[in-house]
Amino acid sequence: MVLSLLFKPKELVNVFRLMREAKRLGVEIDELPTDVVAAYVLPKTHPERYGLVPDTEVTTTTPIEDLALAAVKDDVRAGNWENAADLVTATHGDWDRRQRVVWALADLAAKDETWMTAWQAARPGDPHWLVVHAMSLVSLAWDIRGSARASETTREQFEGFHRVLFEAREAAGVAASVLPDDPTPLNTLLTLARGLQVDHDEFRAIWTELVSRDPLHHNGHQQALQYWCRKWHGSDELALEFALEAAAKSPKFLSLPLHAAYEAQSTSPDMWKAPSVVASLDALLGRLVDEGSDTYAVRDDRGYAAFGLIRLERFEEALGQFRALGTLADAGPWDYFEEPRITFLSLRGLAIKAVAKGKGVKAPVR
Amino acid sequence: MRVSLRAAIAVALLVGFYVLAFGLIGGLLALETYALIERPFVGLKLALFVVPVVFALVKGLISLERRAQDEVPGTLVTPAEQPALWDLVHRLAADVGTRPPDEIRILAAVNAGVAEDTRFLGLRVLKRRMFIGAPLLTSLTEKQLIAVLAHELGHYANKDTRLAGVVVSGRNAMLRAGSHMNAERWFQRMIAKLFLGYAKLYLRVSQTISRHQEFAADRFSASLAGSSAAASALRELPVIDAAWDLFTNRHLTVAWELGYLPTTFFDGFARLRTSSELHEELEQIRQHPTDPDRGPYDSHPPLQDRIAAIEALGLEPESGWGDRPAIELLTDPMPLLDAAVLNTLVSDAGQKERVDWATLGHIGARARVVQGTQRLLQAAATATNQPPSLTTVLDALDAGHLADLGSYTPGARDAGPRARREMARGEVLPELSALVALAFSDAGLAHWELDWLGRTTFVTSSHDFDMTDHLDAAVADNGSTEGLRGVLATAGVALDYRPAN
Repeated sequence: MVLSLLFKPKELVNVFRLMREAKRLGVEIDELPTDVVAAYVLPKTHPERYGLVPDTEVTTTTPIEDLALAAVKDDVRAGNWENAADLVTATHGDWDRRQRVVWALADLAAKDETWMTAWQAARPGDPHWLVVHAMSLVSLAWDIRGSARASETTREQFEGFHRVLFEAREAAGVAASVLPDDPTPLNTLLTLARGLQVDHDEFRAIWTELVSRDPLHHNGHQQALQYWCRKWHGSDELALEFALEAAAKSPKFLSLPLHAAYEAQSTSPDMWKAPSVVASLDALLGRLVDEGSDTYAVRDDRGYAAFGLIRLERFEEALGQFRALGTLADAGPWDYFEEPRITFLSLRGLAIKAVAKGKGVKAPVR
Repeated sequence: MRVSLRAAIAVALLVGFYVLAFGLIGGLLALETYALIERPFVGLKLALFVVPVVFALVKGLISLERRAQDEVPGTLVTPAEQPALWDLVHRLAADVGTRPPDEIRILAAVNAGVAEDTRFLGLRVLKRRMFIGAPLLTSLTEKQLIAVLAHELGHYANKDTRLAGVVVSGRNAMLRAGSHMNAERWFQRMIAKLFLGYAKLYLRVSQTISRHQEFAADRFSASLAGSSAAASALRELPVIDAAWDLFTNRHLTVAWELGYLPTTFFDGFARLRTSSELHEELEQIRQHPTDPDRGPYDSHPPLQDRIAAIEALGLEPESGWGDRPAIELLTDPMPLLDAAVLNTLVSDAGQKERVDWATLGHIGARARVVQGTQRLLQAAATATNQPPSLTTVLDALDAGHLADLGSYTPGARDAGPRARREMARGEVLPELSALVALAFSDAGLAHWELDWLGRTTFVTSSHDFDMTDHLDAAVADNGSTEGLRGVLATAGVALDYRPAN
């Protein structure tokens, strides 16, 4: 890394500047605050000339989208479970929202399940409790494992991870049997299939069950795409095949081929240029024209679109997506990175610089 | 290059070693003397260099000549004690055409060999000893043993490789070259390097001879024992090795640290060798023999090649050798073989208490279980500020201290108390289960059995030892130890039980 810097004089100068700054602050260069590093390494641009917000205004904080969910999360943190239980019950039928509510509450329950115990005691046998419980075990399993690489994960963490995932599978099975319409417990099974290394046939069986309950389950399609990725139990090709099928089913899933291309970057970097992927991107751009950026899901789609456009050197169109995203760098693909805001800003800066030089201004002939 | 020429070069190199060393010493001393006479001042300065170098050279030479101070390993057997074995060795030596050994010693190792006490890098022989591994005597047939011993004696036969015996001893001596040097001192380190460089040259020159000798020695073993016995002996060695390894690690010394040894050794080894649970594994090794790791300077060709070469010879055995077990060559074998093992174990082996195999297995397994409960007992004692005991653990669980009884941390930085508790559950459950099993065992209601594969089984006479539900309830959230306490009380286990070491 150090050697390669010698051939990049500009970056080398930045490293020297950072070293001086670190010395001034009395810390190691690795410990410099992100904002300080960003000030040195981010491209110097003029976002306002392109109708973009200044770097300093960009944030990763997600605005509250579901007021009711935000309220019950506060209730739960205060030790009151009733409103949360009622909200879960009320979402039956609105499957995408139910998934978001259940997952958010399950994350809370994975930290501390006192309120869940109270819920169970007050409403024994409540099927909605079972749904949250099953998903909370998946969250708990991942809390035990952590997100470190396998080599940095202890044997005990792996054992706990698997043990709790098995419990989660059992609980989700029970929930699915008492709520025969609800795709949520099926999605829980789909999610934990990766951790339990479920084979393709078994996975397809769960998938069939899920789409029979909700053919267009938003999170279900994202979970399944992850399963079919090379890093889990599929391949670059299987993931793209799945994503294109989904995109053909509904414009809601037009960004999935972009997810597949993103996941395949290290092994199949040319997937971005595949005609099917470019076609999905163009169709997605068409769909996004009048969708704003109010929901996390739309911002996620825009983020992947922007990323793909930069890869295809269609910088002006990429700026259009950044313009629509405004100050919000909270969704994908930025949220994949340790410093989502810096990733967002550096890619945005790259696009601005390219456009300033007149590159990628006109969309290539399609 | 012909082997005899190579052998001659190898011997020349051995002699050259001394010529080099003495030449250096002589030359340096001559130079020094000359300098002292002609230019005394320069001579004094030169002495600062010459004296340490000569000292190091002399020390290096002495290190070659100094025989290892250690006792010669193995249990000595005299012709009077074991006439049949001695007769056999004499006859083999005569057939091979070499001098019989002066001593036969029985070792507790899967090995046999002939070694010589030598001077001048093996150029002069003081004493020849034959070592025979006790496990070989109990595991091979007479013919297979003959194959092994004929091979070892064959190394010293001088029919087609006249100087080869010297070469073998020379190799061993060369491997010792410079081993007594003090690596902290620069001069000695340099001289040691010089010796080592020379030794490497010698080893390279003699490598082909040694390989050739291995095949030649195998030819002796095939012509005396017959190709089929000789090949089967080679196939058998890795099998015996694996069995002996398992025997010494998992059985013989299973309760060593607690001060116990089995009453007798080789009856156990015999039972292990014939046990049904080991049969398949040993057969696997027999079908696919692999070479043991003998270090970088070993001269043996790959085992598979040797077996193929022996089988290709297609030799019939000399008449008069039997297919009976080799052990029948020995008079009253068991005490001798057990003594050989006891001799090999460290000196305080005599102080160990001797118990039968079943007791030994139980003691060894129990000790491991005890070790596995110490952490939980201590954690419970710390959490409740009570003395470490079974009750303390149960009290700690009832008081909701499960999370405090665990020692592992979850992987996620923002993991909550639930994740900690869940990890503790995974850690505490097997330890608690072990503690309860120990309590039963120490109350005389159960014991551990060790099978010959080294697996332990918990055996209880108590008709309903299935504690799974009670144990699960004890570590469950909002669980209870009531059921467990009930069973323990019914069985008559004292609740303040604490395992003794």
